Amino acid sequence: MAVDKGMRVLIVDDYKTMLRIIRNLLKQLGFNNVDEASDGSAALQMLRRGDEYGLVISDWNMEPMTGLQLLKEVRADSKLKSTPFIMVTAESKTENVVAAKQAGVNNYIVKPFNAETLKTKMTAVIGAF
Amino acid sequence: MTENGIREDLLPEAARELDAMASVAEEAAERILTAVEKIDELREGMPEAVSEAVGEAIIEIFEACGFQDLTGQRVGRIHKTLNGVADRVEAVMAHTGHGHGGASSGAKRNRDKHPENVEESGSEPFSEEGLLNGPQLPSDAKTQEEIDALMDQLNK
Repeated sequence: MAVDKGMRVLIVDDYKTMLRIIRNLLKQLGFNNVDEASDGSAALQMLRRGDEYGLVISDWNMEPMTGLQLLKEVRADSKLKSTPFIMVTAESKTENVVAAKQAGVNNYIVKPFNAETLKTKMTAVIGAF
Repeated sequence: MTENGIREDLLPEAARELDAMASVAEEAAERILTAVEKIDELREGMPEAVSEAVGEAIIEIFEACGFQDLTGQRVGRIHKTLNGVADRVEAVMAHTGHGHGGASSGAKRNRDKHPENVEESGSEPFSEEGLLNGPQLPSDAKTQEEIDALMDQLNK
């Protein structure tokens, strides 16, 4: 079954330009129901508000709450723990990937990235669309 | 130039120049994105083949605008390097009896106003020491293919 492109997607990044880029790339892929947060704590509030998100796409290096901490909070929350989570970050060291994987990330994209990579990783995580 | 001049003038000036550069890059990226979003809206009225070609070009522009994010992160790293130099200069001045005390120095003021230094001050509530390095140089950074191979390995 194809993925519902009307699903709500939460993108998290402290650079407003990057939020705008990801929002536009998602639009090109057919996903228009997109919310934005500027760090992990703002994202967590939105996730816990009760709106159901079909996917979280998050940067890592943000303050006050990083993407890794957000991921850990999501996985520790009984209502949110199965939310698909993709990390999109410039952090490309092995220990970063291992830490993200151990925390339960579904996929990992290294910046700079292209639309095809985003589509491929989204397909791997949420299914074909 | 004296050590004091380096600490009080040269390093803060370098930091200001960096901030100005990052600001110009951000403004340029925002203007490019605004223009491209307008073009994207016009695609509806275009013949299908043209719309498709324009769409592909638009995606390339969106991808390229990612430079602003990486530029900003690299500027943040250079700030930290400058702060390290300022600390060294201050230490040398203190050692040689030319120090003025850290709290009022230009370098210290400059350091405190940059958010990337919150972690250094110990107030970062979710510190992941050693994992927040920012973008690596292209020669050192892992490619997406290497990341994928690592993820595959971890999935086994």
